[in-house]
Amino acid sequence: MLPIIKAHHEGAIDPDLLEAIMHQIDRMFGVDGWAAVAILGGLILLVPISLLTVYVYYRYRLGGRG
Amino acid sequence: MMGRLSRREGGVVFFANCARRVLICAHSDELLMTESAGTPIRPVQRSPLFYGWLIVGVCLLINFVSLGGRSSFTVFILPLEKEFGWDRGAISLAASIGLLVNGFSQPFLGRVYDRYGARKVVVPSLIVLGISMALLSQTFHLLYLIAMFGIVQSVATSGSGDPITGAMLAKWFRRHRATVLGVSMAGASIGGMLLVPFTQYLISAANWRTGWLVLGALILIFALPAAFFIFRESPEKMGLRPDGDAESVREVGRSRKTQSVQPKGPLETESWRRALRSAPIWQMCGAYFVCGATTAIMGTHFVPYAVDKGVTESTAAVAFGIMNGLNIFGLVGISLISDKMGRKNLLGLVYVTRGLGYAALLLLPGGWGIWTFVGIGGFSWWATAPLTTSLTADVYGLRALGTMNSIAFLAHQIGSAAAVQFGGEMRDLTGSYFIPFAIVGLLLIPAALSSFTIREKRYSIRYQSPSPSPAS
Repeated sequence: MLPIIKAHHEGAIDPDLLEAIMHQIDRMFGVDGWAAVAILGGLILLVPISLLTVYVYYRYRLGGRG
Repeated sequence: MMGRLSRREGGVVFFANCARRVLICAHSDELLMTESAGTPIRPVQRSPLFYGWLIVGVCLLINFVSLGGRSSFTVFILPLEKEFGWDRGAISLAASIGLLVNGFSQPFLGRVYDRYGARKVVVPSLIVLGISMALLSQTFHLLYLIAMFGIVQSVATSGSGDPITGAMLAKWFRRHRATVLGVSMAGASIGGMLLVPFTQYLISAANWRTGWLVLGALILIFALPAAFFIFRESPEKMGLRPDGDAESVREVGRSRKTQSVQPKGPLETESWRRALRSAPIWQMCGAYFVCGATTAIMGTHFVPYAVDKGVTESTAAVAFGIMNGLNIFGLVGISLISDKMGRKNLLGLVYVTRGLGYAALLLLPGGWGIWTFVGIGGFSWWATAPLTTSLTADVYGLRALGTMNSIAFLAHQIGSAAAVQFGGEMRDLTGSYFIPFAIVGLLLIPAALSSFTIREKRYSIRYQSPSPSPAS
């Protein structure tokens, strides 16, 4: 059976490795639970919100032609 | 015939009487317009933002939520083990099957892309991907997990993956081709860095079922509408040119007559079968196979190897995390450089660099080897992907690029699967990772040679006159 693979394009990483990384993050920032969900969720939302902002600006302020 | 000219709202409005003529006003850099017989022409103003960059943003977002979400599978393993009593190997089977299904379904979806365009492949794939990810919250049996994650979702990932979005981006950009591919692919890396810990914390705070629901919702709420509303197949369909270049009057007239002003490369083709009869695609696929092997074996066996060398597990984990951070800089940086110079030598150099990282890992003692590998290897980790895709586009053109990219991707995934299995088996057989790492690392030599010997100047459209060449 093939173990879990982390390749370029997609894939999961070793759960033990991830656990160790999460432990390091906890130690560095001292947050967990919903606070961490909120912080990381905010960072995640920045990506689509930035794109939406640029698109709206392009569509309505720049006349829609590149 | 004379045309009538007037000014309105700060712009310029042209009324023209001549059929099939193109006029450009005094501000020719800013305005482009066409006319048809006897009708007033609406001046079209070029905005400071090229629409292609919005396409890049959507591709980045898709990679961010879809591939980042798929990477989060890891954090579901322990909760699934706990709730259903499945062992890790059984759960891993879903991921392993998913890898192979993803690789083997990619060429078929690449072919569909070449025939019908990106929107008709990517949008349905995102719908299936988002729904199937949300449906994983209803997991009740191992076969359900395998079917949903390993098969349905893997096929959908192929439909929205970077072999297809990369092929579309190649139509939008010529001079900045590798750069935009690098930026788009960085989305997957950033997604992995943010979504994996996010999902882990979400599972801790709520439960694993909520985790799948949120990941599915991210795709359906953000990536799907973005692709649906923003995707356009090519700049020509919007009256634009690749890279947002302005079109000269002469070029407009010529393109209206000939439909194309670009030279053809010697190997440019609409047929992927014909492309497979030439050397460069095999050179790139062979190197990409080694690329998959050398990254996947390390992703899976890096920590146990580091522990074998006397490095603590947490130090190894931090090192691996830093390496993943460095790869974003390597990915974008090398892509930028490759748009200024030839691609194949840079691709070869990336394999050489990775080989040096492997040599350091195997030959230097303990932590020295680990950290040297992280420093050198990190920059080369993902850089091969935009270089391979852009070189494929430069050599074979855009008409069969979805299929060609997908074939290279398949080679990569086969290399990944084979190397991981090989590494595990050899570790059991010899009690050490030295031999499998050394063998896989040595494969980087033929991979580099294969890349260096691609006849880019002969085949790449960048060197065919009068297309923009790296020298210019």
